[in-house]
Amino acid sequence: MIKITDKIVNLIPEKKFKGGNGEKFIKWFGKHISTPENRVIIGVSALLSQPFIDYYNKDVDEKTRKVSCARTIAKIVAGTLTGFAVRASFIKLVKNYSQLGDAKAIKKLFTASNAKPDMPYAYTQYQNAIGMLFAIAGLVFTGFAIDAPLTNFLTNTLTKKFVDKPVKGGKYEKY
Amino acid sequence: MSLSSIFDNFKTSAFNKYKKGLGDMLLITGTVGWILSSAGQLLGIATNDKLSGDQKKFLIPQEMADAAINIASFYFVTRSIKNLTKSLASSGKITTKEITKFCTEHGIKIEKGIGIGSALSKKVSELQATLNVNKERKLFIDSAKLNKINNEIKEINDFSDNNYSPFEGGLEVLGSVIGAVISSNIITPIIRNPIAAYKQKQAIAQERVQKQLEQQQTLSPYSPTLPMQNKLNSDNYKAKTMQPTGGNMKI
Repeated sequence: MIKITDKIVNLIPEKKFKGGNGEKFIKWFGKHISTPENRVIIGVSALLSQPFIDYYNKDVDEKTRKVSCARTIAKIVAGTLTGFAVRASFIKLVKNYSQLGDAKAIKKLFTASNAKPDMPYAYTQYQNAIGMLFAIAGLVFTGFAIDAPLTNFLTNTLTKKFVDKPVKGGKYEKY
Repeated sequence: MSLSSIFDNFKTSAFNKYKKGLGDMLLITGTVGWILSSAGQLLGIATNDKLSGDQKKFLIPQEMADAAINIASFYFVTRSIKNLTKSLASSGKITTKEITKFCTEHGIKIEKGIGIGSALSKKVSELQATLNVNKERKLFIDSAKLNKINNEIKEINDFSDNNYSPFEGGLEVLGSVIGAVISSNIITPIIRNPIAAYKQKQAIAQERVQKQLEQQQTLSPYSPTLPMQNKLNSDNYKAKTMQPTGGNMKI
């Protein structure tokens, strides 16, 4: 794998940024994009592609692909909402309890002893990393308790609204 | 070793490992997140009574194929692209004017196999070793030279922490995000749908064969299980057993 990476690196032309927007964007991206933002980016881009792939899937019958499309949308929305909420919450919690400098002992629970105030980028990355690790524990719970039931609820709602045929009297006939 | 010291060691190690960027952590949490989410989704489909049997026959294999392909492609594609973008930064292929100027001024050579980050750390180690050797041997170093070495160490550390690491870390995270988007939103859906459709057809065909076998068994006169309407009871038992049978078969 390393040799293939080296070969690809050799093929790519050199690029030297001279302080312009490209360089600023890369540094901004590294500083501000952590796991919650990453989850939202994946979720939004998924909504723009996956439902269409499922809706136009000719390998299955029409009703199955419609239900599959509804379920994909439900899964993306539920997964992105819970995924972002869990990750952001744990990172915020760690940041509140990993302060540098003068602070109460409890507020320095997650403070690393080798961190210094003149390393703001390094310390932010550390806080994000610890927050992400604890978020895994949160994801174990929300994956079963919230993610799946919410996906089912949204799937059933979308299926009822867009897949089941409406009949007289305001009721829906199962497709 | 007390719990407190174990926790302190954990925090110190985590700081040293992740202070330069989150590329590795995004990969780990992304992969674990997909594993947990997929397990939850499978359970959700299986327990959703609003879905028909035929729909579940497609959705469960689809979800399993989705999970397997998503996790594998997420891990390998994201890792590959992440490593590629990081290599582009550390090899100096994609760099900034500031990084090139700093390396030139401080005599830091960018060699094959040794990234810029490693070269900066190596320079600091060499300067630190000079100070340590002189301290141990109690050799005389004039304060000006001592200050120069200390200042250079500080300058390289500051540059590494506040200038080079954000750039390399930024490219690494960008690679992670691009890899995650490509694997989750393009590769996985295109590969899993045909697999899930094939599994559904297999499951429906198998169910059809099973139903045919069951029908044949209930209709056959030699079936060991009598149909419900012809079940023997005290009324028809006598009539049944007294009926003449063909052939010479004796029970």
